[in-house]
Amino acid sequence: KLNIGVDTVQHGVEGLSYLLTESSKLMISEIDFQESIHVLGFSDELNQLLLQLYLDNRKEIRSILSELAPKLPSYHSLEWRLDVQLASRSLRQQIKPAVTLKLHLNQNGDQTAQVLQTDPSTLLHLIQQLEQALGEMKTNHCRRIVRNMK
Amino acid sequence: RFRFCGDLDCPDWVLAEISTLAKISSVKLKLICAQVLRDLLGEAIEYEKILKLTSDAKLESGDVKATIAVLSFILSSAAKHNVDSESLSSELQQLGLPKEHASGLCRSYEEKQSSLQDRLKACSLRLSRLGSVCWRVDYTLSSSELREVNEPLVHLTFNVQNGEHGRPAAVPMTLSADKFRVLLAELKQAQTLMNTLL
Repeated sequence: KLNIGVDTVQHGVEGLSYLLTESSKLMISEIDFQESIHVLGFSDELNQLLLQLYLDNRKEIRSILSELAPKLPSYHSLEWRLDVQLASRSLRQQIKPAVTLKLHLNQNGDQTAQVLQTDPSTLLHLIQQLEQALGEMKTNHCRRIVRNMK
Repeated sequence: RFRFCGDLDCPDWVLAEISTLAKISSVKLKLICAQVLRDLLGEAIEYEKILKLTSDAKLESGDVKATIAVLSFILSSAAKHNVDSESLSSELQQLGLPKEHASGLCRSYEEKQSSLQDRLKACSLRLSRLGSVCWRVDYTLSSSELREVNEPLVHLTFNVQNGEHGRPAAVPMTLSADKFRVLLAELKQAQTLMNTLL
């Protein structure tokens, strides 16, 4: 419909997306954007159009870019099971409780699972440590930092 | 403290959605419960039916989803903690659900309580399961090492499925007659122990 070669259209799209992503990434002001594209020698009407395009889409582009950063696996869900080992091939008449955990993690859209097993006393210790970690948020040091970040 | 929440406080979002449930008529609520129970039991949920049932109450799409979520929570949590339907009814009324709504909900719950609990038991964490066992007994006549072997040999293949959605994996092995006898004896001992617990 545009009567130009495929390559030209492709280069045009690539150029436009590069312009928009770089501008959004650096969060440049209107004036800087206008000065930058002025160098390209387009008509004023086109410059205005590009500026409007940039301003309208900048927030959305930034939110998409923020999701591209490498992320550590994040928590999705936890399944658990409590078992008691009563006997094994080598020893009968046992009572050995064990907690089996399956930790479901999300990393960049992939789901992985880690299976862990622990005895009740280690589990209690784990809970204690995690509660201590949560408690850290309430200390004065953390409160001061959170207040200054807002 | 509520028994259906596992003797813990009722979550805030559940409390908030109880008022949404009260907007629906108690008859329609019982029908929506039936649909939610179908979903919890692993059958397909008919979302269009739920939309039709909630259209009278003029709920927004967010409210419809919230209704399904809160009913799912109440029904599965009550089954998880083995709460009987009268206790569930009185606890829901304490939270502000009108009496007819609570009794309708609890009647649906009572009908399906044991199937729900069976389903939850089946969904519990399992690491791997044995699908099937195939076997074959061969008789080795001779080999490159020894001209006359004349020994029986058992081929066993265990088909194991890893986790809920894992693909079944085959674990093949061969055993001599003596090794196989030892395996069988040990497994029989384990089976006797399991039978004493049933």
